[in-house]
Order: sequence, then structure tokens, then C-alpha cells
Amino acid sequence: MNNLFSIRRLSVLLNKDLRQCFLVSFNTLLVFASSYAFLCIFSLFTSFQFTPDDRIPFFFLFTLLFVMMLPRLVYGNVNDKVKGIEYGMLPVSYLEKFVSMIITVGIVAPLCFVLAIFTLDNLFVLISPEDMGAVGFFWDGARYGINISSTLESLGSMFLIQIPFVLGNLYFRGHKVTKTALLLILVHIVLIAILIIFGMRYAISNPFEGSTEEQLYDMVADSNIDKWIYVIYYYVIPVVLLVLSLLKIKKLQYK
Amino acid sequence: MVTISDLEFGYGRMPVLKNIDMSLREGNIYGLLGKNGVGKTTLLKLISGLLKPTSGEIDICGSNPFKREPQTLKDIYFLPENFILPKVTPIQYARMYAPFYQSFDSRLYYDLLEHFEVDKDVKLTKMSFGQQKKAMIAFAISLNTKILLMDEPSNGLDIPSKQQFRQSLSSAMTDDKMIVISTHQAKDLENLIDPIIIMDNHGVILNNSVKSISEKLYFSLDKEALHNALYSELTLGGVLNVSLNSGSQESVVYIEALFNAVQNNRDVIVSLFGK
Repeated sequence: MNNLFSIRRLSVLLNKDLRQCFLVSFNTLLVFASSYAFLCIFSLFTSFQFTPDDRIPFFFLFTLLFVMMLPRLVYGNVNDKVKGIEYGMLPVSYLEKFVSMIITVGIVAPLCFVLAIFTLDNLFVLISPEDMGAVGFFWDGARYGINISSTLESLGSMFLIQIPFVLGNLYFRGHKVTKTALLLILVHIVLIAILIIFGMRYAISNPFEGSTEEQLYDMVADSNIDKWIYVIYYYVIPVVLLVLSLLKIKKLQYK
Repeated sequence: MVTISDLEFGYGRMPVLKNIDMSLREGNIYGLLGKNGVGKTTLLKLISGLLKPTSGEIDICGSNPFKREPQTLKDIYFLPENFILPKVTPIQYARMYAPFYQSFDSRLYYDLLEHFEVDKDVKLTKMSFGQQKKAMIAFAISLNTKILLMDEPSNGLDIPSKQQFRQSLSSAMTDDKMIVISTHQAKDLENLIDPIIIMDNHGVILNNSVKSISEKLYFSLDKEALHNALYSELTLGGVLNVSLNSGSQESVVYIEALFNAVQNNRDVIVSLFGK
């Protein structure tokens, strides 16, 4: 039998992880869904406007907060010296643990959350179409720029945001979400500072005097900096963070 | 089955285990004894692959446990002293975790839960610590893993449960299994653990069967402390003396007295039994 990957072992692990995910994240999902429902109900009985345009930011904010919290909620104990023993002793490989973790917190749980909010949204639209907009924000996609592909793209972006939280959950032992969020902010400040410094140095060596705004944009486009940043930000960094998460699972010790 | 050679481990710069050499064979229930902080739990974690040795080797049937390969892990189960359980019933718990272990015996699990008087329809989180412990002991035994490591399993159990625990463990024991029990409650496990391993900060002092211990040490209840006794303890029935067995007299091994005798006479014991 292969010691690194087996579909049978992965399916057994996934079954356990999904059950556990449901058990530990259901209350959190309920809190977000209740908050969303509260806003909807509030708008039905007051002059508070909660049109699809107003609901979309709430929907994305709630989803974002939920996906950031998911790794901590479901796998918060995996590196605990006492509570993590059960996880550490599971007869599955580190690769299977990693794949199951990503499927659970990166795909299944966020999709369930989105479906729950969509269902709730449509329920309120059915109850009061005049107040909530004739259709749920998802179904009136053309008007609000939302469709299946854009939703999947948004979920993909949220997965990218979630990746550092997967790693933070494995490295930090306490206040995992807060520490990861603070670290992310710090890293972004440093990266922006580096970009400004490089930009200034570039500007000094290539004076902009007399250049129009369009010319400046062209200069940036010619330098391909934006493309590099895009590739690094959306591909290189996520892949590096995922590999680090995989290695951390492999080397976890219960001290 | 398990061979440990020249094992060393520390937390940061603080060494916990050093010079650990031992072989553990199937068909035995080992009792792992030692003072607080000598590294009993750490040793169990090292055998389980939950920690990586600083130096030295642990070999479990040809595998390094820290690689945590599924083939090795499916034969090992470690029951820690404390645990946090999910909000599920014992039946749901088994549905979640038992599929990882092909040798899990569900009939035995339900029988043991009944034997331990654990309600299988109550959520584990709603149970007392003792009830949780019994549920986990039942689960651990039912897995039928070749290696079962238990850290202070009798802690939190009431008197009848301790007896049920001993009974369950001895009836589940087979020649192809090996159980290691780390404990401070030596009296709870008397007549169950054999061989006995006693360790201190400098390594393993004793790793011998009860029979070989009784061949070399003599446990007697006398009116007074013997001048040549390795250890003497005043009890209600007289003075319990542990002395060298000069003849081939047979005696019952009192584990707590043995432990104290070993702690007070390390060099004598090491030279008597060899390492």
C-alpha cells in the first residue's frame, strides 16, 4: 500500500474532517446567517434600506470573515500538544491531511456558507419582493455584475486570502486569526514600502518631467512590474504558503 | 517490536531523556514507572512519532515512527492522560475514528462500553472525566492495534472502574500485541503489568519481568526493618522490607516498594539487573 497517498484513506479522513467541520463551524455559520437575517428583518419593519446593492458588501464581508476563521475553527487544535495528539496519530499521510484540510476549509465549507446565505437571501425575497428587490442579488446577475463565474472568481480570491490563515493556524499556538491578520498587514506595509522605494528610485533615474499621466501608465506597463506583482501575488506566494503548510503538517511535533 | 537505542530528547536546551536503551516485545503489558518529570509521557510520545528524538533511534518493526507513515500508525494507538473530545456520542465517535483502523472490533467496543457502564447515546462532552476516560479506554482497546500506549489510564477512574479496566485489558491482550502503561498509580495495576520499567533522569534503571525481579529481590513483611534491606516501609501489618534475594525464595513483588527501593539504590539495581 502506498504510504503517501491513497484514495481510500483520503475519503475516510475527508469524511471525518467534514463531520468535524460541521460540528465546530455550524454555530459560527448560524451567527453570520442570523446577523444577515436580522438585517433583512430589520429592513422589512423599518425604513432601513437593504437592497441587493446593500446586501452584496455584507455578503462578501461575512463570507470573508468566515473563510478567515475556518482553519482555526476546524483545525485549531492540530498543533496543540494535548488536543492535537488525536490528529497527529491518525494513520494517514501528511499529504492526505493537507489535501483533506484544503478541501474542507477551502472548498466545501465556504460553498456551504455561500449556499446558506443565498438561500436565506432568496427566502427574504420571496417573503417581501418589494423591500428586498424583485429577485435575490445572485439571480439578477446582469444588473449587479454577479454571475456564476464571477462568484467562483470571488470565492477563488477568498481562498487566496484564506491560505495565509491555513499556514498561521499551523504555526501559531494561540490567537491564530489575530496574529495571522496582523502579520499580513505588516507584510503588506513592508511590501508597499518596498514598492514605493523602488518606484522612487526608478523615478529618479527616469525623470517624469514633461510626461503625461498616460505616458506614466505606459512606462509602468512597459516595465511589466504590474504583471510581475500579479504573478507573485496570485501564484507564487500562495503556492509557497501552501507548500509551507504541507511541510508544517509533515513536521508537526507535540511538545 | 520496539527497539530504542541511545535515545536523547529535550525541550529546548533542557534535556529530558538521555541514554534510553530498551527493547519492548509483543505479548507483554509493560508498566512504565518514574518520578514526575523523568519523561514517561515524552517517551510515549516519541514511540508514537509525535516527537522527534534529538539523537538516537526508535525502531518500530523496521520503521521510524516520526515519519508517521500510515502503515506504521495503523498499528499504534496512544491514549493520552488528558484529552478534549468532540461533541459526539461514543457511537458517533467510533464512526468518525474507527474507519482508520481496519482491526477495530465494534462488538467489543459496545461490550466494553456496557461493561464500563458508559451510556453510548450521551455526548462525550456531557460526560464526567471518568466516563470520558472509560469511553476512550473502551475505544483504545477495541482498535486492536499491535501497540497500545496508555498514559495514566487509571487516573480519574473510580474503584470499580479500575477493576473493570484491569479485567478488560487483560482479556483483550493477545500474543501479537504490546501494551505500555505509564502510571503513578502502581497499586491500581498490580498483577496486570509485567514487565516493569523504571526510569529516572539518567535513563532506564530497570526493565525486567516480575519473575526475574522476584528472583533477585525479596519482599517480606517483618516486625522490624532489616539492617540489610534495600528499602523498608512501615505498613499496618508490619515493616515491608525489600532485600536482595540471596537464596531462591519466592515472594510477591510489591510495585510501590520496588519503585522506592530502585530509586534509593540505583547503582545496586543497575548492577544487579544489568541495563
